[in-house]
Amino acid sequence: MTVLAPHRADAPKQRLERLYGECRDDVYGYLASLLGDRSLAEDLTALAFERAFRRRRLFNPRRGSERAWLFGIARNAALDELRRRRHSTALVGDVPTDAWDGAEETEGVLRRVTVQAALAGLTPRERELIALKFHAGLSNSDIARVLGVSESNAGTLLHRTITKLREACDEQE
Amino acid sequence: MSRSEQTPMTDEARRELEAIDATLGGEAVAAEHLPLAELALATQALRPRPSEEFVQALDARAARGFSGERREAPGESSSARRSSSRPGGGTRRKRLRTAAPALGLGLAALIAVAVAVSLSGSGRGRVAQPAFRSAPAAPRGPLVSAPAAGTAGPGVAAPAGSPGATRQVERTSTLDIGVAQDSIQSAAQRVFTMASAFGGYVKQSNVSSGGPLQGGASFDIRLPSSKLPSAIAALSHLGHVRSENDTTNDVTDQLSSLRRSLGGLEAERSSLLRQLAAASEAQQAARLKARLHAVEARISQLQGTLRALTARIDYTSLALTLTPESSGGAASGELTPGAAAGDAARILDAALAVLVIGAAAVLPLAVIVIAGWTAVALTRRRLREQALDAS
Repeated sequence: MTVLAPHRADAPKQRLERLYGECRDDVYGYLASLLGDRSLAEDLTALAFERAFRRRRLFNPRRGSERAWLFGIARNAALDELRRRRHSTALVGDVPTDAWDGAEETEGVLRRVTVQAALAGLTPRERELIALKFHAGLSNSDIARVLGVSESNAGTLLHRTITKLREACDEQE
Repeated sequence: MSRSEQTPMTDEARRELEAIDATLGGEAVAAEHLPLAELALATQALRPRPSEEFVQALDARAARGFSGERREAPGESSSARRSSSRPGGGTRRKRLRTAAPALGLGLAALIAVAVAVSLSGSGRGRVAQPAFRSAPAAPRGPLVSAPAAGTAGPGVAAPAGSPGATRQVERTSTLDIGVAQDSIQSAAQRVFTMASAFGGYVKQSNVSSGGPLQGGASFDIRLPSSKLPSAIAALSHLGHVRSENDTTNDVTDQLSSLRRSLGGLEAERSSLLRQLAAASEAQQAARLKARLHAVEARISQLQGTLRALTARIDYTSLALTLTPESSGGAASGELTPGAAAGDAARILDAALAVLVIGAAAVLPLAVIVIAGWTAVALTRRRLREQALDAS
């Protein structure tokens, strides 16, 4: 039986298919949080993956992980769309939350409502940091790569934002 | 919050971020970090989740590799949204595709220029191609160029404006032939033989020898103008033609003027002779003789001039030079691996020179383009960040 070696050009495509499987929901979550618009988030999620597939051969591992590269594409698409539309709606605050699980305890629901209100008080940049960390699931180094800052700087910014969020939650409670 | 902030992280901050990472990774954290862990989980729980319908549609597109689909602007009709994306997403690629033929043509032109420069620069092709040939003859003038060696002859067709007249043309030619260094002597001998064979002669010659690519031979040859093309063609076989130049001078008017003057003088001499025969006085006879001598001297002078001019019309002056060349090159007329390698090296030299010149022209342009591209990229990035701030 002859075993054919995979075509070299297919390797990036296979890697991207794997990346798609791993990051689809994360990209959507990040964009929906960033934009506060589920329909737009769907469109831009599709656009981000389409661009990623088209540019898959341009990915350079020395410039960061594939995950950071993909979120960089998604972020640029989102910011370009914001520029185009002069989007003025609040980001997280307008995102319709998923239906509450009826079995969820009251304390949990209240906690989520509090956090959501605290998030609404953050600046767009701070909300983006939260989205990248908690909704996109990026590491600090990937966040740094996406935002174009140093990893140390990204950690500092992230900690500062979380502290602010925590304080806002305490005030809400 | 500035992007350029470089505040160092404290140990406490680092521990808290590690606690958050551990919480998001499903690991337990120290009791002091439990409130932070709860906040992290609550924040994570707020993550919007895509609808099943969207996930299925996107998975289908992903299975097709997101290829061959029409791109639309985000936020268009919901029916179109499932397959939508920004318009013009493929514009850049399309532009590249459009520009590809032009780029290819440019590259091809560059290569063509390189090869052309190399061939003309070396001047040592196997095919005898005169490096310079004068332009077709002008209608009239004191010094005009020959139409071509093939039309040479003592009398050439009259130009427009002088229908039916035969023009008398004085012609001079120069011919430089590259000959292998070790063949100079034999080629020189053949020049004498050839000149004689075509009814001409070598008026003057100089054959010298020396070191490599030194020496050579030069000849001043007189050839019947009618046989000049054939003679040049034969002489060209001695080596390869490095240069050839033909110059013509229309002397029709000069010839006519000479002949008219000569006719007038001869008529005057006849008249003087008749007067002399009829002269009765010695003084008158002496005066007529003096005038007759002067006229005859003038006739003799004009006849000499006329003969010289006729000779220049009938016989073309050919200045032939035999220039020594490396016998290893293709210029010797033989196709050998060494000659081919020599030619190839010369072509590569010229190609390299063209590339250097091209680089000199392109590099400043590239610097400008890169600077412009960088400025555009920075501006675009700044505008994106502003869009986020304004949202």
